[in-house]
Amino acid sequence: MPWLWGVSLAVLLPAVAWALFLSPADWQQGETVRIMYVHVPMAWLAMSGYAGLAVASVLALVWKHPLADLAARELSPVGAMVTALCLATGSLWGQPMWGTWWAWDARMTSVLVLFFLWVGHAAITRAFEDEERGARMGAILALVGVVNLPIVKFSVDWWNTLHQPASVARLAAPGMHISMLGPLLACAAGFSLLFGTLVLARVRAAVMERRVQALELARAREADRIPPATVPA
Amino acid sequence: MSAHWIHVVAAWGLVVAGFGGLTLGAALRHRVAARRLRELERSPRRVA
Repeated sequence: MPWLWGVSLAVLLPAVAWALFLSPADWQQGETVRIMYVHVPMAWLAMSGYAGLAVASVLALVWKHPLADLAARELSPVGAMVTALCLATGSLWGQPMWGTWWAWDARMTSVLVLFFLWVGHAAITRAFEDEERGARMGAILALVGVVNLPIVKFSVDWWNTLHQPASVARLAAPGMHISMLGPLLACAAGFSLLFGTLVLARVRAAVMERRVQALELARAREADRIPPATVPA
Repeated sequence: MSAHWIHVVAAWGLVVAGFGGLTLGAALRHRVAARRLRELERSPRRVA
């Protein structure tokens, strides 16, 4: 694990320096454009992470893989955090650019729904005493919520929104100069590695916690079976 | 510092706090579980 943290930071730290200090300011937005280098990776991670949650849910529901349940359970708080960061950084970017912190347009509202789906999954998987039941309910919720992903992606094309349309992932060439596209992709790679490492670290901690629980249970059962030593009269 | 930079610093600060908090949380959980596991493995098992 330490090497994975090392690789993530080795990619992320130069990307942060590139984004904050070496890339140019925008001719219209000025320095505020530097929020893009965190906002866009958080948005991509919120969506791709949710797709990962859906895959883990299918694996858990169909093949009953125990690690898939655990991965989904540990993924949802991280997914909720990146979606919250996407909304918060978007708001911080929107206020100086649009003159408002929030608008109920299709893109922002559908991302807010995505945030509620993440939080709902995290809550429902922890709400039942029977963990298997919670995992099953969480998997169903995750799969129902997949319908929101294309709505988030295409909301800017289907409706008139305050939010701008796609600038990077589009059929034509990206509508962004390479001096900004470079640090954006580098930040996306760094944050993706950090996201994956964080989820793996949480899964690893959860596996260890289960081992502790299993051992404690085994010891308790053993103690119940064996009568206490009798003291000779 | 201009108002624009304040927004930039706030946005990046939130990201650092979010990732930092969850990373510390995961490290703490791992540490606590590892310590308890070592204790359990060290403690002698009762044999019938």
